[in-house]
Amino acid sequence: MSGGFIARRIAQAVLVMWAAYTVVFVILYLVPGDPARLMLGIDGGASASEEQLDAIRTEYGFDQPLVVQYLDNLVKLLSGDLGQSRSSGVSVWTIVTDALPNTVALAALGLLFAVALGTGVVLLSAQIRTRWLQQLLTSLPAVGVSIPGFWVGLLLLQFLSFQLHVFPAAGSDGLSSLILPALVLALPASAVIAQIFGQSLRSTLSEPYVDTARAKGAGRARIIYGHAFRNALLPVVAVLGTIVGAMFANAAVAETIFARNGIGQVMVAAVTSKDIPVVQGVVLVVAGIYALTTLAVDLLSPVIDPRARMVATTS
Amino acid sequence: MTSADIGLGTAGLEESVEPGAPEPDHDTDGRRSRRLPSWGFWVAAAILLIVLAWALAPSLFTSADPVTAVPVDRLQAPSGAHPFGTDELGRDQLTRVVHGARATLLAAGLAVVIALVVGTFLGLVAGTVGGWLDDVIMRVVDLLLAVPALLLAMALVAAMSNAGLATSIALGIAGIGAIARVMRASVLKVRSSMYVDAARSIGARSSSIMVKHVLPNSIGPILAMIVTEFGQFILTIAAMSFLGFGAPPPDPEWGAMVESGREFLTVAWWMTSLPAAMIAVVVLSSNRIAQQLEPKSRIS
Repeated sequence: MSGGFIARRIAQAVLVMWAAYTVVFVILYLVPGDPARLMLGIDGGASASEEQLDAIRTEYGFDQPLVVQYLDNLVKLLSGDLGQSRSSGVSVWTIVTDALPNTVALAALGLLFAVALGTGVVLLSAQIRTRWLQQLLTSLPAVGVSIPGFWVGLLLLQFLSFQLHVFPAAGSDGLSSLILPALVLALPASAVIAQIFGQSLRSTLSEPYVDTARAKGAGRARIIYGHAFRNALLPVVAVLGTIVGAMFANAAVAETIFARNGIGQVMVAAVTSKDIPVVQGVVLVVAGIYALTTLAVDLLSPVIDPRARMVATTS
Repeated sequence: MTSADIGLGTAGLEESVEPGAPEPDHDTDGRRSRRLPSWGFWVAAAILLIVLAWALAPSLFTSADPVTAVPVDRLQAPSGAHPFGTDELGRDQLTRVVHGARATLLAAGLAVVIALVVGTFLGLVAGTVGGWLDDVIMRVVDLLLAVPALLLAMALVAAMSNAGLATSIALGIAGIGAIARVMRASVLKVRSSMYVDAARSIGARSSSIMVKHVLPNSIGPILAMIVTEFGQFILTIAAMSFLGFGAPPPDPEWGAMVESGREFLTVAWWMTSLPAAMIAVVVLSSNRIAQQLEPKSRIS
């Protein structure tokens, strides 16, 4: 892997974050509605006086042209300043970094579950010969992508927390409080992984080299695990950035159901109180996590796939 | 273990999407015939039609009031009189589900229209004009992937007063990328085909080639795409409404109904599970229909 390849990929990651920030800035500031009024209350600030509005406009720079506001925010951002929460006055950076470790732990366990479940179902159905059982397994992903994540959460809560008392119903402490919310993130993601992996395994198994291996006497398990598995995994690896990003968004649902602290709770609270700087901070962090995951995938895929290694060294 | 085992195994994987579905027909090159959809497709279509009818004319299906409380009937389990049970205010849950269809379908439909119009246009321009404009458009479209739909929807709700409209716009924006990419791919494919060369050689203008050849040939994959997205939009809309960013309280909305049942999880399972199951059934149905619409000739 050449230095140029790595540098280009890192530059791409930075570009993604900048673009996400810009898109969200444009959306948040171009939509109809006066941010000063928005800040003054749930009624849209209808009862606010002109003086109050002017004071807020001057304080937050809303009276400046949009380009000036944007550049101003961008310069502050480069020095690590995400601004202050409009409802509590605390720095957005502090709010986000306090909440992040909880959600990172949640998403990490969720990703582990999702990959294990998603690939497991496909591998199992490729090996099972009982027809009805195989059909059941292959129909699971289609059902999995259609079930609302919050329903999964509530069912887990109902059966495993309230009836069987296996897991705590709420809280942020310890591994046992992590498992159910991680499953809420994992189940929809595992269905997506199973769909992609299933299709990719099927097309890999129809490659000529699989015929060659079969002709040389390799058994089914040897063909799947020794030959097809790694190649079939590549399309799954390629979408990991999107899957991890979606987990950080869905954390809002999982953390709400299980009353956990984290970035999702911060987002829900910020949206409810129309706290735009915090909203922007969370979006930027999630875009950053997407960019980092994609970067890691780009740097790691040459390790899995020799063909990607060729691309990495020549370009 | 023989080679036939593996052949059998993979064939099973390919076909069985629906448990118990009849054997799909195959024509000579192994494609699944599109003429005879399985019963799963018809069930899915019937479900979507019923839900659509609920959205258009809810009062035809239920005479009860979805909003007014009936204290004597509170928290009743599903029965003949109340197939989906009643909620904590004694309102019939099925009535609320029927009346809630409109808000969900409208929001998802609006999002589809936004994604379809903008995505088709961008894909068409990128594929037709090519060059740097193609690069810029597709880069921007890729960047949209960096912000998940649910997060974008929440951000937009924070900035707009109308939460429902904000969610639709956000989902529309999030859906642009997939449609633009499919559109661009089919433009490139059709453009390099023999009959377009023929049309061009007899002097057809590129605008007429676009309308007569490129657009009709792209409709298949695009249609499958938007039906899939429609289902995904419904899931996200339900999640938004579950989080409290949907219609204000007395109005029935599927996600919000599940949310209000959270408190009664141990005593009234039907308050959460039946509306949630309804959402799952609708999404499953649109996915099943999308699968039918998908062109089967792709190389796999």
